[in-house]
Amino acid sequence: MFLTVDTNDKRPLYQQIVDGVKALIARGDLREGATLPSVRQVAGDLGVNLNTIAVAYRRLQEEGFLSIRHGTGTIVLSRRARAVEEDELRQPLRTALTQLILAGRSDREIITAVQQELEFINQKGDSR
Amino acid sequence: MSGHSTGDWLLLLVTALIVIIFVFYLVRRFWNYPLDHGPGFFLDAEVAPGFYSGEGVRWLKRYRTILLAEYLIGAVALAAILVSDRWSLLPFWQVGAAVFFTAIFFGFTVYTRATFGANPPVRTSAVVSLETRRLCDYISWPAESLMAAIIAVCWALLLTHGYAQVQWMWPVLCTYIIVGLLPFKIVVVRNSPPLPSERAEEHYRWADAQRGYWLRRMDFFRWFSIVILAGYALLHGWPAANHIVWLRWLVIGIELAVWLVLVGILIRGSGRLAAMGRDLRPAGSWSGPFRRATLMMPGVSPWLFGAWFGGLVLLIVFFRR
Repeated sequence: MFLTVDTNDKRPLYQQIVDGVKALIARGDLREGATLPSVRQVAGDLGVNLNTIAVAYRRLQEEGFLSIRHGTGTIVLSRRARAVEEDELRQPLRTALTQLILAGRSDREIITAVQQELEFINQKGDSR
Repeated sequence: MSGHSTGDWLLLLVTALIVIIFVFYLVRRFWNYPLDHGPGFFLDAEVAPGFYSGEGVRWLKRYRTILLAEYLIGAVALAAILVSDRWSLLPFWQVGAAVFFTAIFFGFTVYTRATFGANPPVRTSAVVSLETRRLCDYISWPAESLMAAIIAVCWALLLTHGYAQVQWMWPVLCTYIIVGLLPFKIVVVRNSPPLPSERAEEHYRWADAQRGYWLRRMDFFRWFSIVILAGYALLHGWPAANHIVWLRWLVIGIELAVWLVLVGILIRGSGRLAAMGRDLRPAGSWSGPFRRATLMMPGVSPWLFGAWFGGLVLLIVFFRR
């Protein structure tokens, strides 16, 4: 399992880590009970500050995806995040759809793109 | 030369084996070593297209000239020892040749890096593996404890029962090698170069194989040193052992067997790694967005290795002056 970070990406680095881990969990690459490397290992391999990775892990812990315990390491908890409001869940989708509309995509193109992304996620998840 | 002891002949046999291995390496590995990663690289520095039809020819020639000069110097030194009938110097030739070769090879790699490999391309993206690397998965602590116990027993034997002929150079060198390589093992496990975003999985497998290879290599080198130290302590710390002929042969046999295993690991491992990394990007040929990769062992600074190696050379110089 790999995480890619890119300085051309407009998201801050910790957010790229958060989103990357979530994507791996959603696809089923990271299953419940799987162990993640320590903050020190990820930070060292990437060459970034420990705090950057610690913030990302903490965010994932707050959202209910990870359990961080001293001694036992970082464990993936569940494919489901903590209970959140429907509106909060839909907010990122709304933002993404707005971006696509502003980029000039037609409704049909947007629906196709959404279906493709869903298929990609489910396909990876089913293959596990 | 008829006045030589069995031990001298054994030394000559080991030297002959070393010469065969050196020549084998020259032909099979070293001659085209800079081309290991294809025409896009020289050693582990990325080069421009067409490099090998221009400047690269000169660099390759320079590399091979230095390589041949090293072999020639080693051959002349060996011939001098044999012609002057001073076979007792053969162990020093064996160690000296390895140290000299490594130092020159390392120096040339650093020089190459400092010239046309000084500014490797910087990528905006890098990949990190989410596989956990725990020390206990790579380092056997029971084996480390056993090594520490053997070292302690050997030193106790030499210090309490060692008679006047003990040459402290060998115990000190062996202990330095065994103890000094442990921090390296930890660094090798803890550090990993960033992976390029293209063919990340293959690069990861290759980096992991490199890590395993370097750890095995260090371990066998350390076990070889343990066997030498133990043999030396037994024969010099326990005077009665010198009268037990089979014991001496047993020690020599074990030393030779461990050494042959070490050589086998080196040959097989380096060949396998070369095949795996044939068209992959060497770790030192590019810089990630946040971290510049180093050459040599995964994640190990050449300066750290240089410091350890320098210490080894200083010890040899100290004891030989």
